[in-house]
Amino acid sequence: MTTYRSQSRVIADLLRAVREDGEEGARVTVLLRKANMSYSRIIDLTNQLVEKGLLVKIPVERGSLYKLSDKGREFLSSMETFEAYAEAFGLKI
Amino acid sequence: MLGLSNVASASLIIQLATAVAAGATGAAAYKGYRATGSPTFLRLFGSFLFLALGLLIEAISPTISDTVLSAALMIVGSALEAAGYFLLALSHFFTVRSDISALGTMLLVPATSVSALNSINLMERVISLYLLLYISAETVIFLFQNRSALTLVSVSGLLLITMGVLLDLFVSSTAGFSFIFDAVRLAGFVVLLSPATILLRHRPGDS
Repeated sequence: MTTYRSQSRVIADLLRAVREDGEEGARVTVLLRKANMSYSRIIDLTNQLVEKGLLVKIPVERGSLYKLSDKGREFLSSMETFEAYAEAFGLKI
Repeated sequence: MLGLSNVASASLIIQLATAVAAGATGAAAYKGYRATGSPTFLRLFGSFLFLALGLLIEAISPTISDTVLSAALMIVGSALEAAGYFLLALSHFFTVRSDISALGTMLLVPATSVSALNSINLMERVISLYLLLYISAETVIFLFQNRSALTLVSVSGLLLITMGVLLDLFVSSTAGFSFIFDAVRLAGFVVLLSPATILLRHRPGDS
């Protein structure tokens, strides 16, 4: 069964995937598996989130790691509060 | 025994309080829309805005001495309330739209009511009732799927509102009791408002 996800939820899912991977940072391959998105979409979105200051990109050998910035952590926390509020009405954002 | 004027005053106060509770829920949904840009919150905001306006107009319409204008306002109020429930039902439909049975339920439910109608106002209220039943059913399904305590709160609120509308529709001819049904509906809207406290408790930076 396919489920439609709004842009806000897609961003929240990606940030959650980064957070779940711990403080050391997440690789794109891990995000691909956890956030359920295509490779090109993950690359586009991570670049946008780095530009907006929600993610920090750390260049490492053979690729990059992504970590949540303080702004990203705050954004995710707010999103989760609003997700809980929508769920109270039996809705998904 | 309560006099008729006391009943009317109690009913007016309860209906105004219900409109305020619906408006506050709408304001919380608008806050959610501003923060997330989610169309779900926009529909939720629209829904509770229509409900608040509808309830407000329904509350003040009996106080107008011109009977034609009063009846016309009651129809407008009921229409806005039905539109509010329709938007809420639509939000549920978008949440579960990948499941075709949801569309079936939504189409099936209002179709059974048409023959029972003898006035526009009654028709709008019956439509509101059926939409409420649909919304309650979808929320109960969501509750079983997600087992969220907050959803249980909303289910309780929706059931109280449904009960208030149901009683008002079928028992309101018994003069003097309408304010009790309004109070049940008010309780429902207050319960629906309570999940908004999680937005008040939230501080940026919490995780």
